[in-house]
Amino acid sequence: MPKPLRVRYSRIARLVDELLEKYNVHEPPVNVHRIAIGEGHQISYEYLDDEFSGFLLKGTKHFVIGVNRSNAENRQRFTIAHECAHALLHDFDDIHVDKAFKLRSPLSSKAIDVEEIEANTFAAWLLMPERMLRNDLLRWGIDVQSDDSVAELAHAYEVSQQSMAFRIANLLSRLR
Amino acid sequence: MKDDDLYEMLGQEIRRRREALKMRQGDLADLVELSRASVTNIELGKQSVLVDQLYKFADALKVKPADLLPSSPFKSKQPEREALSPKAENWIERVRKSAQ
Repeated sequence: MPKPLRVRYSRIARLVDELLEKYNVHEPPVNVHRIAIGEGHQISYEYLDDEFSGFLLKGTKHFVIGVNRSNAENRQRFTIAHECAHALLHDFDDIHVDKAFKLRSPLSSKAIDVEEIEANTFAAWLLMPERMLRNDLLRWGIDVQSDDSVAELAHAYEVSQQSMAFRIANLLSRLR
Repeated sequence: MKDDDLYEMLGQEIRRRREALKMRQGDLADLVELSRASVTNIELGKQSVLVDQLYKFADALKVKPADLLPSSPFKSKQPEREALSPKAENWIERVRKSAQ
């Protein structure tokens, strides 16, 4: 599997939709732990300094997702989703270590590597599915300029406010 | 990295530099006061180099001694992954064993 040259958005959208359907996810928060386990991955936790968020290790029969338990809960969920993306989309020899990546805009300076952008996109879309979020934005009549509204949504989806803000901005830019 | 790798890399750098200067092994041998066979072996990494010889090579090749040496020789064989903290490496090792 050669490295992707550009971000495969439609493929990512399809994979995310398939997972949401397979695991019958219709409302937030998305149980990413259940999805990862359901996909046959094991999850290993350890308390570490901030040196990295997680890793994906290729075992003989399954993948192991390593999660830095010192990170905030939301961040750990993002890490699991991010590593699931690497397992689905990317090729590597033995282990892929994700250094403490910055959240999470495709514009983030850390997101220079196409594979990392893909994994971050996948994670954002899985944790904040477009249809769900769009409905919430319409139903709640959310004022997206308001920090409180973003905080409320972030809380409901169990993601950081920063990721939610990026995700909403991303959705709105495509609605116009 | 093993010692052999260090001398191999040093030898490659000496050869690269010599060729850039369009020098023959014999010319270089005269300048560093070694036999041509020694220079051949050194370039192949089969013969170790004393510190005073390193300075002679550097002089002859018009570089600083450090320029002939690999920058971080003991990491050069593992470009694929940066080293993590011992605790992190230990964790990964445990996970690796359990996943076999």
